[in-house]
Amino acid sequence: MSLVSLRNVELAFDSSSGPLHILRGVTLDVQEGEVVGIAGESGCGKTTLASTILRLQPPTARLSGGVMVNGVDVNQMAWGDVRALRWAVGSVVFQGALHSLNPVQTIGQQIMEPMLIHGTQPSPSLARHTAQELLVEVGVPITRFGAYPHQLSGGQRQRVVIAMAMACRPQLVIADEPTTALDVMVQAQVLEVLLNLVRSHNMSMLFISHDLSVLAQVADRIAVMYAGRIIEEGTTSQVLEHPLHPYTRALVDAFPVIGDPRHRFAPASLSGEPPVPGRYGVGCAFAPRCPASEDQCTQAEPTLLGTMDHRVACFVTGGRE
Amino acid sequence: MTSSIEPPRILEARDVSLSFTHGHGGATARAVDGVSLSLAPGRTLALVGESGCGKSTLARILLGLITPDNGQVRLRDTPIDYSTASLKEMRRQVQLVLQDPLGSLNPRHTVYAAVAEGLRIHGGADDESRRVHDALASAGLRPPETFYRRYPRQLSGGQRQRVVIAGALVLQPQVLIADEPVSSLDASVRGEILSLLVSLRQERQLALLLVTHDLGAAWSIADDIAVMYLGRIVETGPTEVVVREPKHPYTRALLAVARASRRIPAELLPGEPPDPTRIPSGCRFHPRCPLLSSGEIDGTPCKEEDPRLRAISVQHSVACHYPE
Amino acid sequence: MTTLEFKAPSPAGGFRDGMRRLVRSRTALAGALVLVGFLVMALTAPLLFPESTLSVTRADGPPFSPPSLAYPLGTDEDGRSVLALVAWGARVSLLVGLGATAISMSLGTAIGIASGHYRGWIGAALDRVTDWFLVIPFLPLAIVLATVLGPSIWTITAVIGLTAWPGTARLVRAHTLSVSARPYLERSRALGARNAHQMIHHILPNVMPLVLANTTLAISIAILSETTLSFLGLGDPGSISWGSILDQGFQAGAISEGAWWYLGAPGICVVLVVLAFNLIGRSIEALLDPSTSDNP
Repeated sequence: MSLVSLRNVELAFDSSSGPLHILRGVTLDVQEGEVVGIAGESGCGKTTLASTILRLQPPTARLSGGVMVNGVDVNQMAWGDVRALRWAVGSVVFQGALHSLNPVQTIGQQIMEPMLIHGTQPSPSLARHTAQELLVEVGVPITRFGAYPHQLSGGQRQRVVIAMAMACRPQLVIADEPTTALDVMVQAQVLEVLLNLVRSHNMSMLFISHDLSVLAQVADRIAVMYAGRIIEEGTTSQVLEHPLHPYTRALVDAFPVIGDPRHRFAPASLSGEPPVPGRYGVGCAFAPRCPASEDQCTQAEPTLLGTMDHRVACFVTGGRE
Repeated sequence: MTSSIEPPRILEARDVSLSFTHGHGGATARAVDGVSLSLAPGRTLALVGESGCGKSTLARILLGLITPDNGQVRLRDTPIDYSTASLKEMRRQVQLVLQDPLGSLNPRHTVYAAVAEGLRIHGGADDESRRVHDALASAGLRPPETFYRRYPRQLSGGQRQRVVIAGALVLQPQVLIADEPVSSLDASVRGEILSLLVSLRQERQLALLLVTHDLGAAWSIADDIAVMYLGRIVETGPTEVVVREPKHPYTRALLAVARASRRIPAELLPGEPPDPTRIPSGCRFHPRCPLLSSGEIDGTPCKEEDPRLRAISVQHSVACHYPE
Repeated sequence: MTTLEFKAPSPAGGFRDGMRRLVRSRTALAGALVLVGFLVMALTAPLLFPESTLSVTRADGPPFSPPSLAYPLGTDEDGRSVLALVAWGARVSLLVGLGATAISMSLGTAIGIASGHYRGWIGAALDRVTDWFLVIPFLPLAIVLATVLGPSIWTITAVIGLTAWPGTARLVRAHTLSVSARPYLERSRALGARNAHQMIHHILPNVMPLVLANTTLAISIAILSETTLSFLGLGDPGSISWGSILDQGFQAGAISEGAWWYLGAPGICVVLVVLAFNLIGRSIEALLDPSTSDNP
């Protein structure tokens, strides 16, 4: 049984000009101990998708399809069970550490807080002890336990956010662009910390990023999202080394190989922009920008076809391998 | 080795320094500390470094937006004087493109007004509408007329950045300074804007300074590269040369991380760049230097003496006591 | 940058949309209608109630008579129609209210923008001046000026204007500080703009929605202030305003006579006008800002 199982998830918002379809039939599994990367740009729905796992989607959203965690549908759960789910089964590492941290509480207290709320530690002193251990595990000196967020550097703050996410030893960590705002060096350090923790405790991770090179380093499998759907999915080496979907290819090209002379003065050129979220027409949403589109692409939406190792939703290039 | 003829310099900074003091009696941060840099027409220089290294400050010094404490900025070999009139004239020739296209455009101004602003500031032009039209077209927004009356919020990120570029081009500058021009754009859109910058440099022989933390963008479009750390340039040279044979340990570490493909590189630099108010003595990189910590070298000069930028081959210079 | 606390996208904004919203917003519409009503009343007062009806000597109504068909709002102690008084009073009250607000808004906005935009000693000096004027007490100043300048509509207008501008200036200054830090100001400087250009083309348009929303509040306060000052007898004894009607009424013993219409009518007018401005004020910001609430 998968840890997380999303089955044909659809999500729409009502707006004054009609419904906005943010997710249009997403099917995805995350196994225990697996790191799944979701690649995509702004507006593709990746953050919304992740929010559904812990039933964090806005109440005005209309959701259909199955969101199963440990075999139980999250949207059918009683409220108490959902609360228990949040942080103890699945936790979140957000992008901006500054926004995730309460500026008037010490970082030690903030790491302890979820433990006390969920009762995963029987007493405050044990919680404190565990929090200190976590701090060491993420590489922040234990002397900073009583420090306030503004007294730490950006990289340290992000590590604290990771420690907070680990506080209840969840089965799943959802990391939403956790390193995007950091410098490359600090980014690499934080990634290393995150990955080590996840692997050593056999946790699963859902890692959301627009940066394929980051996903290449952490993910076992990658799902590429565009316009509310998964358009390519498979093992990391398959998807990144043999991208089938023209969008995936464009995304791979957007991160030039430094040192490769073919990438000098030849920046990848994909015309157009990602579509406005929620309003998609008939046919493949990528067709307007696609260098390989044909007539059939504007008439119907392709479905994901292929093997477990590599599937793609494209009439022209896909579904054969 | 034949002597190379140096390309003509259109804009250069000579030994500029700038310090900031936080509040009253607060610590002094040496944001830019003795930097020399030059730009040549038709060539792109990437100024690369992490946040806090001073690259954005240096860019603004080159633009004349900030006055350095020491050193000179020279436009076509004449030091700029900071009088209002002469600075205004300089603005026609050296233009700026910023990171955040949404923030760079006044939300209440139409696209036309945003592009025409530069012309109007400089006394207006009789052929204003033609110049706005041409600038929008050069920036890839075609047909230009359809964009005139739109507002920034109605455009996508890439389109907004093109409007900002058009606004810079309308003055027909010879130097363009772009501070993280594509960082806040979606990945699939970046290539287009970078291509635009490449073609502009070709067509107009623009001197382009690309300030960025992204080594990939530098590899993509820069002829030359200068690596900055804590207010100093630690390595500079043609991009291909520096990337193939990085001589400074910091450059090597940055490249290792930027090029990591399937694995997080093993040799990560420890810690983070220190506060510019507490610059280490001697070589400012020495507390994090892997060469030093590995014990392979005698670290005494590193701790005591600040290395200067020295040429190790034609056009490739490094500031390190042990350039490898 | 989205977080998992995803916000549902909001509907498109824009001027037309703002207008539609204004018309659809019943409160704002009500406020607008009330105001239009009062404006019409003020403008047509000389036509409907010729000056002769205000003359004490020619008044022919029974003194202190309650509202009736002939005198819809009753009469005062001299038999004059209270409706006529109120209609004429609207002219002065609205004029002073609007005039004083115009002074305080322009002064406040100009100084606020300048003190927020100019760093260094200019900005600091203007800030000090603002603080200084902020603490000047309203009533003592009014009394002093009235004594010095002689009681008149213009004195009142000046007093209200000069004591109200610092509030606006502080608000505008705070907003200017945040706008000044935005990238498009830097871009403007990079294009070669001088301070005047930056303030007029960039800061002012961005500060305007705030100023306009604040204006309606300021008008309300100005009208209330005028009422107070006139009631205290600091206004022009020859002109009629709602405040002076109240003053007259008190002096004539309207309370002991039980002439509730005499004090009620001007009082209610003031309340209605202030309410109307407040109701409109809430919608004005949305109405005039073409860049509100859009999806990215």
